[in-house]
Amino acid sequence: MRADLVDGQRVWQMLSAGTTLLHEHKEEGDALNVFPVPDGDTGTNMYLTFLAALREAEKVAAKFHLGRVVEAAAQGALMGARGNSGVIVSQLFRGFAKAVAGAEGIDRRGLVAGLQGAVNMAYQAVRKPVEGTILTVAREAAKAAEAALRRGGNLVEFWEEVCAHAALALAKTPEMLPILAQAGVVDAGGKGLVVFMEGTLRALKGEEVVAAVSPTGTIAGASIPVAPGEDEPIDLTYRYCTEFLLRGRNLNPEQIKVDLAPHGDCLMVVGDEKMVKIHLHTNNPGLILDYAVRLGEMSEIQINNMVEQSQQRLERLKQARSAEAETTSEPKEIGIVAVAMGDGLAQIFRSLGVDEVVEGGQTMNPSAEDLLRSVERVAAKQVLILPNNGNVIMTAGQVSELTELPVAVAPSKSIPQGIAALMAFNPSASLEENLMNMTRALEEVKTGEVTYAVRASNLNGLAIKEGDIIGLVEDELVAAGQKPTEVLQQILDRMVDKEDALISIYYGRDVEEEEAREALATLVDRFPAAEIELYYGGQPLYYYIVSVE
Amino acid sequence: MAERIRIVTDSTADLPVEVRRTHQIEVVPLNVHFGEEVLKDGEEIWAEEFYHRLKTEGTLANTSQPSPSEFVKVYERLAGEADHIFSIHISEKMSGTVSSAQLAVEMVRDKIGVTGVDSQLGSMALGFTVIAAARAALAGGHRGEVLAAIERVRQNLEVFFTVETMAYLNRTGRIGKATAFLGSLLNIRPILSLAEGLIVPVERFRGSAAKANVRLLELLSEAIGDQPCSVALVHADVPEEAERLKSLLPRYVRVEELFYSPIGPIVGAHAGPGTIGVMAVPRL
Repeated sequence: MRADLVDGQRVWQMLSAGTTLLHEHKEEGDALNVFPVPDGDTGTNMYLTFLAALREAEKVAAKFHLGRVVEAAAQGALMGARGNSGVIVSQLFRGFAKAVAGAEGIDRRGLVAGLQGAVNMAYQAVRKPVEGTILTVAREAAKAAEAALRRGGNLVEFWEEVCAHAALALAKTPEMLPILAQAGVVDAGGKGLVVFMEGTLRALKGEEVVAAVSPTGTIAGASIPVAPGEDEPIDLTYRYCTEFLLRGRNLNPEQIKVDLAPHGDCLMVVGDEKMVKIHLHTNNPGLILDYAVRLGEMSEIQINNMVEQSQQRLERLKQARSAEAETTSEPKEIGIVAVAMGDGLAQIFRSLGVDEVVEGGQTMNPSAEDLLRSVERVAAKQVLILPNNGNVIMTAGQVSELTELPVAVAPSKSIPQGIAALMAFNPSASLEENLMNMTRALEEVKTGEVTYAVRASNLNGLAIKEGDIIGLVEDELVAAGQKPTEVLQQILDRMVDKEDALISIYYGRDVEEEEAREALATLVDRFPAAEIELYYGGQPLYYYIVSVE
Repeated sequence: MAERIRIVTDSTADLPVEVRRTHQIEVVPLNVHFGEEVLKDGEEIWAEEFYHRLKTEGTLANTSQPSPSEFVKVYERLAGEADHIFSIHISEKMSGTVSSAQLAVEMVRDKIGVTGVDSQLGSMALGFTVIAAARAALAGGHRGEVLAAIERVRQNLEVFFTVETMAYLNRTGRIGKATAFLGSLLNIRPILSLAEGLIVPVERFRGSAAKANVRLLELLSEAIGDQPCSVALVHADVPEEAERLKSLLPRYVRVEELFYSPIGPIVGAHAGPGTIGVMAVPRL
């Protein structure tokens, strides 16, 4: 192999090393969220997107062929894209693949062309490009590549310079995006790209990137659930999907991983010394809980029998099919897929006619492939997606590229917006008409959320300590306090602008029903002319989600 | 001499008595059943009493179509004073009334010609087609003109209504295509319309009945625009709310004439108390 040539094998190594390094740093990326809300998951999203690219590239038999490897990676990224940064990454891959299509190997000139193609494609894909984000980092890297090419030097020196400029651009993101400066962070998506590039550089230099856990191993398995075939019951080695949050002092996620690994698969341990999220598939959940209870306090414990789930699903499928056969063999005109977290919210969405509820939202953005699977399961001629989260809208937009079915996305940024959109849904109207009516309807509702701060912060004149209860209105941090009820009242004071408003409150998993009822009583006194409705949402992390309309 | 045409309808049209009299419209009653007790709508039971009994007796009412002989009686009585009859009725997809009438049409064939019409509508929406037909007939129009008047209403009519609960429509199977609005966990007012003889969903409304009712006016205004209209406002046992809407109406539509009436026992038995409907056509 020529030293200055990147061929399929080498790009594969770079991709692999970059992804591994991202895995090591993904918690850092998560922590860079502008708001100190517990849904910062850009790092995880980036990692999962690159991982999907890597896995698809892995399948290419002719690994020597750069064009084919990159093309497969682009396809994988497209399917696995999560979150807005993930979507942009997938577009970068796509642009790169297009620019180097057919080439068995490329030199520095080819890399420049590839980067330029990547940046062009990504900018095109974003309707309103914002500077100070991953886009800026990618663009500066491409620009640096051109300059470096003119300067000469070997491949490693060239790529070193490109990576250095990317890192420099990242450091400048707070200057371009005031909200970053205010929060005292750099852009999380840009950070992910820089980390990835750093990994690729190490691979070029021949340095090994050591993974604590193999990027395609157990951890990844948990994050990308394998879709069981439609009709076959899944064959499961481990029966119980066990998941919980562990709070304590001096927790050691690495040690927990080591301790739990022998008891199951799909192990995922994420967090820090104070709080760790644990997920694994095991045959003995009791043992796991026994272990965990000695380390700290558990919450949000969920144990699901996956065998039963898959049987129930099969049963439901059968029932649905026979019911369908009785009434009509025609698939329905418009099916609806909605993204939501929490059993209460999922039920509410289903009761409003949603065919498939995709688990996800604040804590875990679904990938384009997750959404695609649900879209295909709906068995409708056309499908409408309600992302219900600002970070899922772009991913949802990608689904139409992955299927022949006509797919429309009603751009709901929150649960209340999704519900408002459903009010306007008319099953006998056309997809276009519905999209128009639903988009209009969702803009008429105001959303508020009550959660807790995952780190100290100073935002909008509010000094916030880690663990404080915080209130957001339309994704803007506006209130802080010690009690969820108190913050709920504060944000409603801001949100309610007419006496006879309709206030809907969805209380989360961590709020007792009694507590929610007491909050309701207080609010009824405070807003006597308003209609106030209280529902169980069951969402994690968010004590309350409220809407005012 | 021009043909003398008379118009017959059924009691689901919810036509005010005054309108029936001035337009020479004959109304054949459907039947209301309270258990074993069978009462003729508009002859043995009226709206006010009907809703009162629903409330106080805690029972649900059923309904049945008129027997063919009820139609025969009316057609034969009119045979002396008319040359032809248009018998216009509630949607065949909601009631068997049209088929009863159709049998009667055959039975009186030797005495008088009757054209049975499935309006594909109900309540005052049906009432509009009947009024339009009657006006065309009273103006000396021939059969073609009467049919055209009915068709014009059907083409240009806008209907919106809301029910307090879908339970009544669901119970008696008149729910049409609005099944999608069933089963919501949220507190929702369904907003419905009529199309192709069936109840169809329009949108779901979150908020009080009072706001949902105003939403009806908004939808009507958007649909019918700024033209001068004949408007109907009907309600099932919510007179105060209906009065309030009546006073708001002129802000939303250009009302040239207003028909204001309670929803009778037949439609009321299927839609349930609390139902309110608004409908409009360009000036009849």
